[in-house]
Amino acid sequence: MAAGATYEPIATTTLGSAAASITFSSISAAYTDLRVVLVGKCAGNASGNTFEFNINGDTGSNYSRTQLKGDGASATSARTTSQTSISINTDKKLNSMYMVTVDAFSYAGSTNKTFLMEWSGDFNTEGNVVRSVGLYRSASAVTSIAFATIGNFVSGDTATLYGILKA
Amino acid sequence: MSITRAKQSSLKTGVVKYDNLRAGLPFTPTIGTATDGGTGSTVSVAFTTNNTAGLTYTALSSPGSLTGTSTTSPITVSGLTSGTAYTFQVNAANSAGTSPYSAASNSVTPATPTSFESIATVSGSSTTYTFSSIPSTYKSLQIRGLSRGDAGANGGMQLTVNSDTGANYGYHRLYGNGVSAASDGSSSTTNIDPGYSALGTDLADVYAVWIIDIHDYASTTKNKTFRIFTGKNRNTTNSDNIIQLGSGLWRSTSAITSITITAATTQASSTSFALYGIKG
Repeated sequence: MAAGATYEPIATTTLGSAAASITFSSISAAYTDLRVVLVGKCAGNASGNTFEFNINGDTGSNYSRTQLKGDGASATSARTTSQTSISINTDKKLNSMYMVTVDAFSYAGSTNKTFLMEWSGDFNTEGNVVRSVGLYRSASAVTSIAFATIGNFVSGDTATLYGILKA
Repeated sequence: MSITRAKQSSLKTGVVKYDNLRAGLPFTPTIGTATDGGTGSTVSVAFTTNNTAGLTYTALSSPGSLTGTSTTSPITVSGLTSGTAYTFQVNAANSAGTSPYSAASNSVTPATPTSFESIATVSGSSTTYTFSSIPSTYKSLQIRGLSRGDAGANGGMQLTVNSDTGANYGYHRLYGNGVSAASDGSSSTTNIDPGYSALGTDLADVYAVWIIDIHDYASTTKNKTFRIFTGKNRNTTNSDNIIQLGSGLWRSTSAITSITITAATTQASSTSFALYGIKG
């Protein structure tokens, strides 16, 4: 079995000021999978679809997701379909930190695109852990990913895009 | 009589060698090739010499003046900085003293080490996907997969290792189907069943993805544990969706050398599983 080094950083963004979105564009098709790791600080209290992303600037009703969420007291599951983005339904608390990873599988392939998401946030007395699977109904290669969050991203929020190539 | 500069140099070298020989000093080694040690902080420096045994050779880096010593070629120099270009010189020492340094080596830049490597991929339309002859050179394994069924009925996918079909497996699962969350598990089973409703990728419009981590897979003293993160969404409806976390156990102290993923029905040609190794 041949082995080759992979899991390469493609791009990193660290915000110098608040921003409504973080976007990775002109993504090369040179890899098999993509992974985004985003660490942020909550700009305020919020609940609902507090974190979301769009692919290739597509805001049509072409997305769905199913999630599993635990808040320290109970576990719940929810799903949406024909949405305008892939969202993570969770809570945010002012000045609390959170981390999100998004795995995009076969992102340059010619079938619909599937994603796995992990959202983890702990607010001392509260917290959420969310795991989700998302579907983008498009055969187009993923060339850009734009993340948004309720209350905007804040200065210091950082996101890194990695490429993973299979043998 | 005229004498060329080259001959002058050769005569001078001969004088130095004669002086060294007379003083009992070792001759200056001839520098060889310096190569990246592959760790991000080491370089291997080769050299040749006409000296007899019993000498200690030292390689000196530039920049940094970091050194490594050995009684044979090559010499490993440690503590280097990845991404920095270095050249090296070598000298020889014995009880009588130390030779001058050799000429400088080629320039070499220790590359940033990687800890995540692609090993193999199995893909296409099939019911079984097997990784065999898995090397034991990593600390952990990760399987990343994308699967899609092409049949009209739900089935499942199971995972076995080393062709072991005995009742040596166990698993626990936490899952949500978009409506409710639940957990289940099983012990003393003949495989790890990573999916509620199986990984149910057999419906043609189901798109499933997997990340399976196997830690310390090459250990010969411990049972093997698995971490499974998987999910599926259907294209035409939001029923039959699953998001799931799982743990798995294979009760064996044998190193894992093969992994087989078996589907209940034939998967679509777009199905693909890739195996990666993570260094410890």
